[in-house]
Amino acid sequence: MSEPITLRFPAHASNVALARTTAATLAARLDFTIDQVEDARLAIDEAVTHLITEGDEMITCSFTLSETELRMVVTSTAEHAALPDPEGFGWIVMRALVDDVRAEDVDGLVTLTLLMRGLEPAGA
Amino acid sequence: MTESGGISRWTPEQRLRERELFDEFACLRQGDGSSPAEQSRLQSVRDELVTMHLGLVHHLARRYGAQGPAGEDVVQVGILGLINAVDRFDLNRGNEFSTFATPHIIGEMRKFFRDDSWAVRVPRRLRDLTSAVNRARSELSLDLGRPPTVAELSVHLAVPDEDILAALEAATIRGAASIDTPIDADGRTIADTLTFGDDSFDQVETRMLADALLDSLPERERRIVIAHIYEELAQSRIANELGISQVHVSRLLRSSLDTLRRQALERPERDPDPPPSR
Repeated sequence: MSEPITLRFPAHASNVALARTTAATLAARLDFTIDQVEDARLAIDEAVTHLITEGDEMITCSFTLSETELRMVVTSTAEHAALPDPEGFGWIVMRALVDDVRAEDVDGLVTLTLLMRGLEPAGA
Repeated sequence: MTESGGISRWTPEQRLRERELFDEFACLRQGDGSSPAEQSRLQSVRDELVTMHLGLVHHLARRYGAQGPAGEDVVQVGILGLINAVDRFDLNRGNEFSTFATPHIIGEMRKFFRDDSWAVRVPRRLRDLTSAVNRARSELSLDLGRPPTVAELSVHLAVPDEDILAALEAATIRGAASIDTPIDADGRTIADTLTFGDDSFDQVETRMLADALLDSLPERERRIVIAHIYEELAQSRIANELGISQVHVSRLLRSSLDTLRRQALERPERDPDPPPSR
């Protein structure tokens, strides 16, 4: 497991593309299939969009790569942000796109964790 | 196209309704469906199932940046995916329909972005590469039994990873938004935020001004400026033609340009004065 790569930006919609592009680049590095690369892009878009406020809050995306896994943790400095509605489309989409997704309230800050698994390494 | 009423979440009643409808849908399909009553019921159950999930399609279309009239096509292909999902869904597998349907809807949207015409001008190289990537994607998918990785595409096409990613991204930014699309609550449109400066008009005006001012220069100076600026002749060549030294040409050129510049600045803007006679 390598050190996480972290991206921190103001919670403005115009910054969502940063997270999207980073997720895609890292997913490609892990030898994800191109459909999975696109899934990673859409999933992070969904997670980040949930925390967009257009205010002073900062969003942090941290990406951790293991040999076959991409873990994306999205959190915001917004206090009292709502957890994603489990019946909402955003949540449904994230669940459909990634292998595991969790939403937690960590010390009053919403944290979304998305986990994606790539292909098994050759010979495994 | 009917809207789903803009719901963005499910109520327990809707969940219940969804279950009932899928149950009935399965029963109706197992029956021989020979009576017209059964057939029309089957149709209306299917319609209701599709309609109640349209919100999910719209949501996904927005994720793909497809909005407004330009996004209609994306929504339409998404609905196609939704219909396929309704037809294939098996309640007994324990999945929720929305989870089952999402990949179907996204799949159709992907295919659309892959196959359809481009509304946005993407650099030629990227555009060609995107077609090449899409071809390779199909070929390799057949060979491998799964979609290829970026690294596999990169080897196959002999193109760096980054270019493959750029090509994939380009494939999803083809929609063009109308400049009359409202962008905020006040009803401002994209067009309102654009300025319509046209350099050509400025150039024409400058050229007219320059022509007028040139006439105010003495004959020799005028010829030097025209030869150097408009005909782009070297100073040495002008010097030869006029039978004077290059240093002299350079000096005359500089002082003439200074004069022109000063006069241009002194003139009121867009002065329609006729050129002063020499």
